[in-house]
Amino acid sequence: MKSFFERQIPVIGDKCQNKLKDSTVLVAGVGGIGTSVSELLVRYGVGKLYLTDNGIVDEPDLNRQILYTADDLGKKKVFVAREKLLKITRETEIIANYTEIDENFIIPPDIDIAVDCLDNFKTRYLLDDILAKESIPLVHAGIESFFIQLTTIDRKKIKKLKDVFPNAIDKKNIPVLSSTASVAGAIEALEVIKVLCGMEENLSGKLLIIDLKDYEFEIIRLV
Amino acid sequence: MNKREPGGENFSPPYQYKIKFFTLFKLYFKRDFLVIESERAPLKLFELIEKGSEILGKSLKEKLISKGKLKRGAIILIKGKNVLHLKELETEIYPEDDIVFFPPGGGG
Repeated sequence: MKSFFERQIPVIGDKCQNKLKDSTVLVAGVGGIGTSVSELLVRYGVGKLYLTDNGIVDEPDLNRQILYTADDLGKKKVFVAREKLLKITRETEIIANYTEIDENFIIPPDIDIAVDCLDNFKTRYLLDDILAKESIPLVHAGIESFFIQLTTIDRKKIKKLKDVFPNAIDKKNIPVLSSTASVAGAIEALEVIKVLCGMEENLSGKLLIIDLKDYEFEIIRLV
Repeated sequence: MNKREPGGENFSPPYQYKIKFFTLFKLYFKRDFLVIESERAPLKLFELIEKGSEILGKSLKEKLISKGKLKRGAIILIKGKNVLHLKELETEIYPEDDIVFFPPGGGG
């Protein structure tokens, strides 16, 4: 009998697949990176996803935010994303949370890990502060142009995002390619699976910098 | 003698310091690394930036320093540690240290 996960179980194993089914992930931001991350986490078989964003689908989003189409213009992203994700499979429970992440943001009580798919460092720092108090790991990615940086703030090797990026500045309308967002999302989703399943070859204590212009990957050890 | 010190078994002058540039700095400076030679080791970060500016032009210093302090937005890692958590521009750098300069992408 064919099953949804039969091609990936030989790679990650039954134990990991079951672990994913029992896991809950917060996807912070469902834009360029977040749409890719959330789609892949559903396809991996994560049991429950919280999608958090306060954005509306806008024309410039459509070049890279892969869950949205022209029919969705003007709609709230989290609800469109939930609807599209449920068409892939009903195996994942999806909670759409149309809200801004600010000082008053309440972390869902049952999350195992959060994924940073945000588009500014001010919000990243706020989210990271809240997560750090609960010792919840954060998979971080940021993109611009052809470039991506990724790391996992595991709260053990690295305590907080500001340990690595203490002084990042925010820019508006950051130029970015659809491929950059999708590659970042693909790797973040894989990193979530690695952390949840306890695979040692993850980005805890390491910074991965990807240059899609020259096709170069560089790992920088942070500890 | 400590091998990290000048005259140690692994190092002798001129000492070489390798700065790696990533992301937009790589595009801006049109190179992915810069090797700086000095008769001294260690060098302080501001000295390294001064020497780098002698090779690349004042744009390096202008990108990184304003009014005697590191500008916001540029990440400088020495052996994986952000210099803002070390001694900022006074951070001592040794020739074998992994030196990384880049501005992080903020988009998502």
